[in-house]
Amino acid sequence: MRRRGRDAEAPLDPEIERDLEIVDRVLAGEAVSGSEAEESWADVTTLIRAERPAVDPEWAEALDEWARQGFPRSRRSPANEVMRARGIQLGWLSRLSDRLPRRAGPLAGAVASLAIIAVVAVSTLGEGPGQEAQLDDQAPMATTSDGGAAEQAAEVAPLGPGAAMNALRRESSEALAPGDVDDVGIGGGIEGAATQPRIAPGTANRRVDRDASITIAARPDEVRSTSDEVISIARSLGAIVASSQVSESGGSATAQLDLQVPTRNLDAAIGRLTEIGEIDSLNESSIDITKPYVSAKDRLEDARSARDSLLEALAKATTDEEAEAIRAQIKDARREISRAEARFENVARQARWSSLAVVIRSDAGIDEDRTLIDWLEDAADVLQAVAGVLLISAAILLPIALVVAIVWVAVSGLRRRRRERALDD
Amino acid sequence: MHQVAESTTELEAPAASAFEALYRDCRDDLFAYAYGMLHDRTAAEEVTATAFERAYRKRNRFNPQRGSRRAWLFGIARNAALDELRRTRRRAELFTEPADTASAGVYEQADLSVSRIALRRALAALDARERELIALKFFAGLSNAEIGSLLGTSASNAGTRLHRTIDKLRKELG
Repeated sequence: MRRRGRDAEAPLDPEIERDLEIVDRVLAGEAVSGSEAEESWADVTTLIRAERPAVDPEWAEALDEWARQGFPRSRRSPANEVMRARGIQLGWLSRLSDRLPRRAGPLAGAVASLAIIAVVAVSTLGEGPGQEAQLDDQAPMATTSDGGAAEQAAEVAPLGPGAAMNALRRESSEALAPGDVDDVGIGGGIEGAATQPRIAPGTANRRVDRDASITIAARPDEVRSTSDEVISIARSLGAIVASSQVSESGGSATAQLDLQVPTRNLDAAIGRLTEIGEIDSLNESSIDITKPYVSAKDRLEDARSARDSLLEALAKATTDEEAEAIRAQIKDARREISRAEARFENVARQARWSSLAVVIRSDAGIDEDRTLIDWLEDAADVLQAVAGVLLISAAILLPIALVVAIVWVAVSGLRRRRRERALDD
Repeated sequence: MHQVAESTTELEAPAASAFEALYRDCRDDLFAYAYGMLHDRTAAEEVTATAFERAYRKRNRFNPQRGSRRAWLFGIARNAALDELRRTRRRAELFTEPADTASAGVYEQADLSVSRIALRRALAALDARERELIALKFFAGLSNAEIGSLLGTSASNAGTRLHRTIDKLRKELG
């Protein structure tokens, strides 16, 4: 029951108190005799009390049985059972109330809260550098000419060693147009269309030759498995294992791998490799090769333009001697084109691929280096991650809970007012 | 007046056995109260069953500092009855159950019939809040303090309103 602002507890009028006392005494079974007024009160009390209805024994028995069983939800209410026995049609609400589970609301709320926490946990804890690398790996190249189609296919999807090596061979042997999208700049930028104008260093189409070397320490018995893991990471990022060597002697072991990594995936590769073991050293270098790239590109375009001009001149030649002379020049122009293409492809490959040298050396004391502080730091990382998940979940759930609470209060107040209004005829 | 003693021993009893005792004591009273509110036997039976079921599910939430267990039960019953009243919007009808007068003697029956018919007319003329007061006092057997607590008012105010209602009926009967 709800207690609203109560009136001050003022004493009853003595006459009212006397009359109410008579009522209480009659209801308690006492005989009351006195003045006419007192007897009048006693009589009306007796009459009203006589109007008290008696329960239906059949219904009472059904209710008692239901109560004995603890009011199970699966059991229809006694009133409904009796009504059905009497052939009285129940309303749809009564039929529905017999079937609905009571705790559906709270259960649904609990399930929804857990679902929110689970989604937050998966999205917060599931991200890693591997995903970024995969995105790079799958990023399609922008535009390409027909000569670059094979290269586009080779660089978009993760390659097996054989396919990737074939891609390298194709790149060095096939003719390329200067406008072919066959390489990337820093950070995996995508080149524009075939009609790209000549560029200068320092612009968005900067070309950089990047190389890196990393030394990883591992337990002697884990050098080979770590090497396998490095190869697995490399392949997943579209890299090529140019060479690998593992040597074991006595209690020590060493592995050396030379990788050719697509430049756009180099950062991702380094990030993933730093997670597989203790890092002894990490070195990176980059050389701006934009000028040589532009120069090679321009030279190739010039050679082709010269050939095209000679072909036009050949078409206009009026004598055989003139035509023969032009054909000789065309031959020279074609040789120049081949040389320019080779030079351009060489420079472009430097930008497209980065060398990553990985050395895995054995370190028998690697576990001994792990101190209590390291374990505590790991525990702190885990706790931090869990706290982050709970904090984000709370940030989502608390406003929802607040809204639900406000709605509940409003609904409760509305329901109270409606109930009281039901008494207003 | 019927009262359920809220002794220390009873309060410390397991919730299930305390509820069982409450059920036994209040079943008929609760039905009578619901009938007094709704004047429909079927609806009163449904409200009674609903009230006991809700009270059973909330039995561990009873706070003795907020009132007697009986008043707590009738608070639940009141809400159920008001919900039903709101749904059906039934008004008070004349009592027409012939079984109520069957037990009386022939001469007494004639005399009772006149008085009771007059009383029933008077009861039907009461508004819903007045009928509720009569039902709480005479059918449910609640004390003035329990009635005041249930209606959200003081015991003296509840007593005053009850006196006014009974006096109205008394004057109707002449």
